[in-house]
Amino acid sequence: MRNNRYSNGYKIVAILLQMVFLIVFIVFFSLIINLYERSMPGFRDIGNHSFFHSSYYMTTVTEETKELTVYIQLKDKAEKSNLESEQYKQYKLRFDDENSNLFYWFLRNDKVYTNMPEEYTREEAYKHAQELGSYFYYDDASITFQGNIKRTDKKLDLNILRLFRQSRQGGCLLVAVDTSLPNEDAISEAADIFETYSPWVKWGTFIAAIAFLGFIISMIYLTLAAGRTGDGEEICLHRIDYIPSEIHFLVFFVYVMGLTAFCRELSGKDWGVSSMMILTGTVVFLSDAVFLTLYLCTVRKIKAGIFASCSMLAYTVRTLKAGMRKKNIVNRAMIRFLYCTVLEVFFIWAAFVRHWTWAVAGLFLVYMCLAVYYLHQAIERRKILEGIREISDGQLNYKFDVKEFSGDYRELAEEINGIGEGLSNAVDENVKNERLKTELVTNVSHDIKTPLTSIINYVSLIKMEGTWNKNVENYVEILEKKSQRLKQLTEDLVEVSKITSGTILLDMQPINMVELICQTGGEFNEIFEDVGLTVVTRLPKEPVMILADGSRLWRVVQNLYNNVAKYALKNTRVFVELKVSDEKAEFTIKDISAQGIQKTPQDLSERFVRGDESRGTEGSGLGLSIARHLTVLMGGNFEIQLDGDLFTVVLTFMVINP
Amino acid sequence: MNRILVCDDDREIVEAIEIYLQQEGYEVLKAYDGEEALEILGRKSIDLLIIDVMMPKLDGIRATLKIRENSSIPIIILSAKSEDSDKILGLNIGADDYLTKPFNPLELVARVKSQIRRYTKLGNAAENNQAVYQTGGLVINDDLKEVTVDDEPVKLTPIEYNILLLLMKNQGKVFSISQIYESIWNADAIGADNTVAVHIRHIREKIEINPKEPRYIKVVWGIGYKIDKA
Repeated sequence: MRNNRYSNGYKIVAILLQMVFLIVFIVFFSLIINLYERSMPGFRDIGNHSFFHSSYYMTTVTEETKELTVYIQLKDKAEKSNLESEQYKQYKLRFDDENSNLFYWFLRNDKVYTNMPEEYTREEAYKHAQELGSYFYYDDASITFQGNIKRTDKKLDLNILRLFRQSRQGGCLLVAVDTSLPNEDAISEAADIFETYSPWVKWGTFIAAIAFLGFIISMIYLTLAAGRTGDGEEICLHRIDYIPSEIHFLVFFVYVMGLTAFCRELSGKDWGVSSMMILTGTVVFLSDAVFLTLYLCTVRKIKAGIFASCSMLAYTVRTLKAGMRKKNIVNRAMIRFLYCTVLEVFFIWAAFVRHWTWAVAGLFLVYMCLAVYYLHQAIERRKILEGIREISDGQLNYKFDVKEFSGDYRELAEEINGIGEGLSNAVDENVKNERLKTELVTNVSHDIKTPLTSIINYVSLIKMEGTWNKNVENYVEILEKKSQRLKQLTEDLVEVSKITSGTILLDMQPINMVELICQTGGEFNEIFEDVGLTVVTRLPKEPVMILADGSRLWRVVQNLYNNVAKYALKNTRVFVELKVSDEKAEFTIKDISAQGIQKTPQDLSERFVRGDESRGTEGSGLGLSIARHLTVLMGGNFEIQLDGDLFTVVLTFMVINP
Repeated sequence: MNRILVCDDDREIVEAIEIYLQQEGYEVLKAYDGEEALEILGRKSIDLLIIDVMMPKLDGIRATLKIRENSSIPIIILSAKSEDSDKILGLNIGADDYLTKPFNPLELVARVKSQIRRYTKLGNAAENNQAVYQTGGLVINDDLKEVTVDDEPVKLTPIEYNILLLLMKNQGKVFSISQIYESIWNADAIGADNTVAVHIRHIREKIEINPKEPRYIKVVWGIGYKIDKA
């Protein structure tokens, strides 16, 4: 596709047009200024074709009249002293000896000065002036001006008034210009200049306006086109654009300064209008080339978003920051402190020693910066603290948004994110490990159960065969017992590993603790009687409702009762009690241990975890451990107390109101 | 003579079971994986199947599902998996009983007997007698004051009989200890007491094959006792 608005061809055309327009504009603009400065036809005369209506004419006449007033005074002085000065002679030649297009008739204290015919009365002179076409008339009696010449200078009015100072009333001044301009004087010269340059002003203004418009349009196009090649949205940068912005500005500044100095040098001499135009054009061309280059550079930089970053200031700041980042936190704080101190000392010196007012503002600014900095730090510190609190509350997945932080706190946030991640990974790993452990235990126990089934079955078959001697019967009895124990052990093992790994599901429901204890009592009635234990039960009359998984709680209580049945001293009493106090249901079971207990209460319920050797008697030795873990899982408290041989287990659950 | 198919990939277990069942006078066929069991079932008429869960080729669960597509013979699942969820799964897919390994061989024999009796007797129970309550193999005839489990008469004391009758009349309902006490003794329960619990245990010992895993009288821990609807 060649239909590209930003092709190089278009750009070159635009640059050329821009230059041409600018040169034309500047040249014509300076021409007009030049003419205006030379008191030649100015902007006010645009569209005014007649010299005698132009302000240039008015200015010229005003200047001439000013000279005239000086001449009249000199003439007056000359007549009084009969001394004709050199200046007076020149003026006389200029105004009186029929060399002037300017006519005057001046009356003061009945004395008339005029270059009109001597015999003219005031009325005749006035009439003559009107005939000449352009005039003005001052009447001292009424202090009024009449006529069609506008005076462009206040000084003239003052001069005229000065002429009539200390004079009798009735004076007047009449000034008239012969519009046919028969003589060569300042006015006819002005008329010539006007004829020459007035079309220039008219066309010059028009051309300058058009050129200015063209310049603006081409600048807008170039601004839009800068950096665009038409192939997509990317900004295409040139090598020159990577030069720091400050250097661009410096080059421009130096160039402008040089140019200005050069121009001043030139303007010392008096150049003609046309050579002035050529000179201006050249200078404009040279400066525009540099200006346009730098301008487009800047535009491209701004478009690419590297204007700020591609500068020496930004580079310096970046370097400083990078240097800071490499240092440790303590050094960074030191450097910051040092910067602030140096700044403060400088501002204090400037403000109180040198008495520079702006330094006070600087001091205040530093103070404000510090305030903002510390506030910012405090906010970030609070955010960090909140995050750490989240993590320590178990929200291991909590992550800081690092972008919200800066400097030291960003580093801190990153590190804490790392810690959180590590923790959460460790916990995940742990959970996974526990699961694997449970799975392993379950699988192994399945594998144990199959051969165990055969053992139990064949032991039973051996027993059925019978008719062996006593010893063999005894051995078979032991085999049967131990195989049963093995069965119990594998089942307990699976249960414990499930409970500890948390893969167990609880069915929590409101349960009457009293009912459960009675039910358990019924189950164990005869077992206890067999080993000669008497159970003393103290229960409240009212139901005691707690939230628990009934079958798991039964497992807990069952294990406690089994424990009592196995280890309590025969023919003693067992105390079972349920109390309610402070919204808590407290279940206590006490018995006298048959053997002295060497272990601590903790060891007794942690046996499995510790991998301790099992007790010599029947049972897996896991009962208390299972009971404790299940109780804790259901939100209860499990406590073992040992007082000599008195073995006590206390279960505590929160009571719920029905 | 009833014919029983025993299926387990462990030959020793199958042989031990065979010995026990032959002693009770059953004819035993043996299979060592699910497919073999299906093949034998296709060829011969079988009265009961004992099947293991974890087996090569076709496991017990899938075999049971297949068998249930066109047969209603009693199936007892034997498994090393002792989870409640495993038991529930086994019973839900159509097994009549579930026994965990390692098992007591005598209990297995008792369960086999129970299943076969119920299976052969099914459908010819005297239904029109109003005072007869039944669940599974447990029947209580209030007219004759007679209790039978799988047609075997059971001897209960009057209190035990009344408790069982109460539970049988209200199958599915849970009775707390005090509710049972009040309705049997016709007196307010004075405080908590394990009398009722002891009676219940005695009933269980008389009517259940394994009192520790009751089929009929279920304990709802911390709430009471109930008999599930058949």
